[in-house]
Amino acid sequence: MSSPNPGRLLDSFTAPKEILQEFADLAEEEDVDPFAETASKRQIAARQSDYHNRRFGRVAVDSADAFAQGEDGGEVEGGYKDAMRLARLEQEEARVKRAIEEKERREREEGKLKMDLDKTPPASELQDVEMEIMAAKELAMSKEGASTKRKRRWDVEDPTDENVDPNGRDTGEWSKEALESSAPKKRRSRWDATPADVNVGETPKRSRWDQAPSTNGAEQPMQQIIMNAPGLLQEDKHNRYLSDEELDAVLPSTGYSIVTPPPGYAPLVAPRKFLPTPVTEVGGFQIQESSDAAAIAAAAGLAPELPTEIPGVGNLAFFKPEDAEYFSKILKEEDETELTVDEMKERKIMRLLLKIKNGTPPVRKTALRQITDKAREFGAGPLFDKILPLLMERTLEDQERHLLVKVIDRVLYKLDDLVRPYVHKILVVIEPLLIDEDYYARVEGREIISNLSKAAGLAHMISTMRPDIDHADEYVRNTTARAFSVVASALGSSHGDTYRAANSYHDGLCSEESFDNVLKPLWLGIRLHRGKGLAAFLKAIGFIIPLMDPEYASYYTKEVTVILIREFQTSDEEMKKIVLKVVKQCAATEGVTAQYIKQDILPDFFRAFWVRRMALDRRNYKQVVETTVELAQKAGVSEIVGRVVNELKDEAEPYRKMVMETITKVVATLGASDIDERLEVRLVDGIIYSFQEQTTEDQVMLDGFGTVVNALGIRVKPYLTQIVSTILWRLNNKSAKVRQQAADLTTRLAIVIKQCGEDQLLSKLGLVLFEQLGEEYPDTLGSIIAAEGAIANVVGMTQMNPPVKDLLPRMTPILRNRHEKVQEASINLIGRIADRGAEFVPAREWMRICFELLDLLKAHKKGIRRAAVNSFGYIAKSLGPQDVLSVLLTNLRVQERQSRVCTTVAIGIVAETCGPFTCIPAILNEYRTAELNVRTGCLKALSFVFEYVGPQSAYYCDSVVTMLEDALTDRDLVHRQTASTIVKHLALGVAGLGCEDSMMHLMNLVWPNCFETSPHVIGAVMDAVEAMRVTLGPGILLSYVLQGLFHPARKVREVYWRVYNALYLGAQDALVPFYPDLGELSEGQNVYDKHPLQMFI
Amino acid sequence: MSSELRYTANTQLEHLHARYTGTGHADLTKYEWLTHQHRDTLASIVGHPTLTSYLAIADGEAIGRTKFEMTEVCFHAADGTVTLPCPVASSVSKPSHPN
Repeated sequence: MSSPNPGRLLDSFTAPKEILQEFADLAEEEDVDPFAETASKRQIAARQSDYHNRRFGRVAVDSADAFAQGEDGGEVEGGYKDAMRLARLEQEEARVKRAIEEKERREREEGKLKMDLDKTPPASELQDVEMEIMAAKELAMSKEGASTKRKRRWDVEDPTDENVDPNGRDTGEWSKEALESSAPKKRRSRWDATPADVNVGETPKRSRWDQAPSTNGAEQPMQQIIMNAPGLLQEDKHNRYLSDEELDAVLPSTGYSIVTPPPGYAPLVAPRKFLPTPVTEVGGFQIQESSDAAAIAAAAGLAPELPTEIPGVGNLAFFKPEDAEYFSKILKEEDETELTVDEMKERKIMRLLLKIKNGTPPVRKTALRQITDKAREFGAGPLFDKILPLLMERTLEDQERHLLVKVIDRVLYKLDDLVRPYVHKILVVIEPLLIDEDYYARVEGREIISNLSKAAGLAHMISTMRPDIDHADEYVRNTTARAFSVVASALGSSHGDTYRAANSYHDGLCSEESFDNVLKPLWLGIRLHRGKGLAAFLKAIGFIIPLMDPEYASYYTKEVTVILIREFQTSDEEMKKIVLKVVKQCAATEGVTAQYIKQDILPDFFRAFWVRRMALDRRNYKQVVETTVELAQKAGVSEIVGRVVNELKDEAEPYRKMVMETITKVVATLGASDIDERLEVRLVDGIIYSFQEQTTEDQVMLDGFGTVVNALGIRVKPYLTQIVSTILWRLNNKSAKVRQQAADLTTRLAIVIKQCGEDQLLSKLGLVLFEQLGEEYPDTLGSIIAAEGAIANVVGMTQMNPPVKDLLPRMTPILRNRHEKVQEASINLIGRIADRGAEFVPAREWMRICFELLDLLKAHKKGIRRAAVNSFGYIAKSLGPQDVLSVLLTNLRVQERQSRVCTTVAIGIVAETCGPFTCIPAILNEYRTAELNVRTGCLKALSFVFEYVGPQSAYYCDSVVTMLEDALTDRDLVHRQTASTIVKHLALGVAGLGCEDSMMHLMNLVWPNCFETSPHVIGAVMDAVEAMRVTLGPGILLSYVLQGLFHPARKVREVYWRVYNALYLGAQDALVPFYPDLGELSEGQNVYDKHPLQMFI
Repeated sequence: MSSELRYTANTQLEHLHARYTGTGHADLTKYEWLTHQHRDTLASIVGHPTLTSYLAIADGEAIGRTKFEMTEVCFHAADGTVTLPCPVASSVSKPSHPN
């Protein structure tokens, strides 16, 4: 049977070994680390362009608090004036440098240069230039002798500081040298390396295995320092490698020889080092150590002690060599008692920052909270001196930047005006975020700057940023212009108060003038720049123009429009958006006239932007519509609508939609009175066309139709026959969506049709819709019912065709439909009929509906539940409450809580519409049921009853007291809670109506509940007590409270003080006569007698 | 009080104290409380013009003077530079108007 096994040929098929080997060799030869790219990408600086990295070259100055000026009277050091002088000085320097270069170039061209290739210009020329520079400097500094030291790098501390070493060299971590040395050398491409660089003696082929980790700090990946992480155990001092000394001690001195490590060997995991030491010679094993602790340990002959856990910080998620540098102060064990207060504070901030930056999420969260809470305690100076340098670090990664920016954001809120001296420093660090490629970074940057401007104030922001706006460096100008637009929009939004505050606080610089100050450079900017730079400038101007006086605004708008119109042609999407936005902002400004917009802006605007292409991109579409609507505010409806109305018949549907949306918005805000007859014909024609031609279901066309027709009002009468016949035809369309839209349109047009007196049309529509009630698609059915409801609403119940008595029985089965839209539409229609025309329908039908309505009480949508509850009220009103009430009270027995709650609300409403006397006896009777749910339901219903009837409660309060007694002394918490709520509503209702005796009784029953701990119960009890204050008066309440304010038990005191505080807030003044006389506590100088109260005439 | 409630109640309390002077807490001493009462009393008198003028007549002082002295005490009690009592105390100890 079974064929002989042919024998297995091979287990698997694979390539020959030689080929595999060849590929492996090839791969090694390539010498590429596939992750090298990604590792560097995480660092922000590594992935950004040179332009972005120009931020490292920026210099920040201390911005003095302009508001401090008033206090000492004198000129503020480092104020606006100095900043401006500094800016001018820098410009002058740049100009002179350019002049020198220019001169050199010219001379070279003219052949005046000496032939010996000596590039140094003649000494006399050099001197000239030198003199020029000196003169410029002196000019700038002549006003104040002390200003020479003002131009300092912002983080360099005073020369008296500890950071300066004896050589007088500035060694601050933020100093120029430090900055430059920390900059990674630009990686050279292999292509531009000269062959001479290659060491011929070395073997070019290196396997990845013998590669030592890079010693260049900037390139080093993060080191894990989570304890017990596999593979990292040597970090722990119990698991570290044995040192040579230890090995010597352990091993016998003979029989062993120390083998030199192979050339090129370095340990795979480099030991922790604190400063990257330059490697002098390659080859040979060496342990790199340079930290103080390590040096001391090495000197003592011990193995280097590696910090595995940072004191006071604990475990971190990761740790980078650069962090070790920054946080070196907290890495060492120090005797805290020897530190000054400031040093302690500094350490504390550093610890918190390290936790935030490198910590695990829970650690980070607590640290962030701590730093926020203590922000004012730490002070702006120490905080920003630590945070900002970190942000400027070259090896910063996205996550770290995000966290640090978050810290700044939180801290800003707390520090408020204390940040003023640091505004410029913060700006220098944050402004680069505004041009980051990352969207979220840009958003974060904007948020920080807007918060900063709110904290520091408009005037201060302007005086700080003004010098940078015409900085010699284009990068600075660009970022500053962007920051300006953020400031303007931040402060413009809260225009009223900030503006006024800026005006009143700041002497000399009034806000428009201060913006004026900025405008000039912005101004020159828009003429000078092209492309991205121009976009930034335009954006800034767009935000500033609306803040100006009308006449200025009009002038500047006219100036900027020339540029805008030129840029209408741009193909750059970003620029397009900005141009549209600026046009919108300019058009909204007061000083710009309609005439000007019509003549100068509109023709070019429509030519450039009202093209089909614009409708295809969602964002352009939106922007164009918004801008056009804004222009219409000035230019008028007919101007804009007249220009676009023909496009309603365009063949491209998205474009028709864009036109329709614009017309809708314009007509909705400005009305249609401006539209003349000819335009009206074209408009209605276009709208009907585009409505009929639409293929996608969309609100836009429907909304447009409704808005325009409603705005035209009685003027649509001539077109109504046409419109209605369109609707009727579409109501019988095969597609459910088309039918639905036709019904929706009917809903919107019903009022207008009635206004035009076309009752015939309405009744025709009503009948057709009635016939359609058998519709099977719920969405469409919902729309049809809603349309029927709209017609019933405008026509009235008596004239309604079909008559109400036919319509309602048809609705009863539809109520069972589970679809939300259908439910809502039907309950609205039924509620309306119950309200206006209940008498046309037999009582039995209404009772049937009542039972159906009970199901609607547990609908998900609140609107449906509310409509159902209201309908109960209407029905009860027309039928009398007895039957409805018995239905409702029976419903209290059902299981669903939702349904019971709604039933109690409905009982409350029935009581309100039919009078409490019809319901309260029934409720009290029902309360005697032994079932818990029913009793709670009754209490709840009573609570709603008293809430709704208000002062009428006075007639019923004595009748419910016994029941409340029972409920308030019940063991069930919920009983007491609900009873307290009833007491609250009752007490508020009867205030001032002479029910104090029974209220006092209830107060005595409520009061013992004040020690309840469940949040809902205690809340209800406190509310009841609060209500009692209103009814009984604060004096009586105070006498209750006085018993426990100084009770020996803290728990008692806490509760009583809570009540006291509520009492105090509610009726402080009224408490005065009731304060106890504690004159006997007087001793010595302190007299506690209240003499003024004892005086009499 | 449940732990959750105590937590929220306390944070609210801090907020309350920051916003409304005169509100108290479980650790308030009776002297502090009395100081608040005195300030409330004086503030109430200053706030009701009829009461102020009544007091001024009883004291034989100008209305403005009475008002000023009371406000002073209120003000200084706030920063704790002056320990209470009322300045009127001394004038009251003088024999008052016989009527």
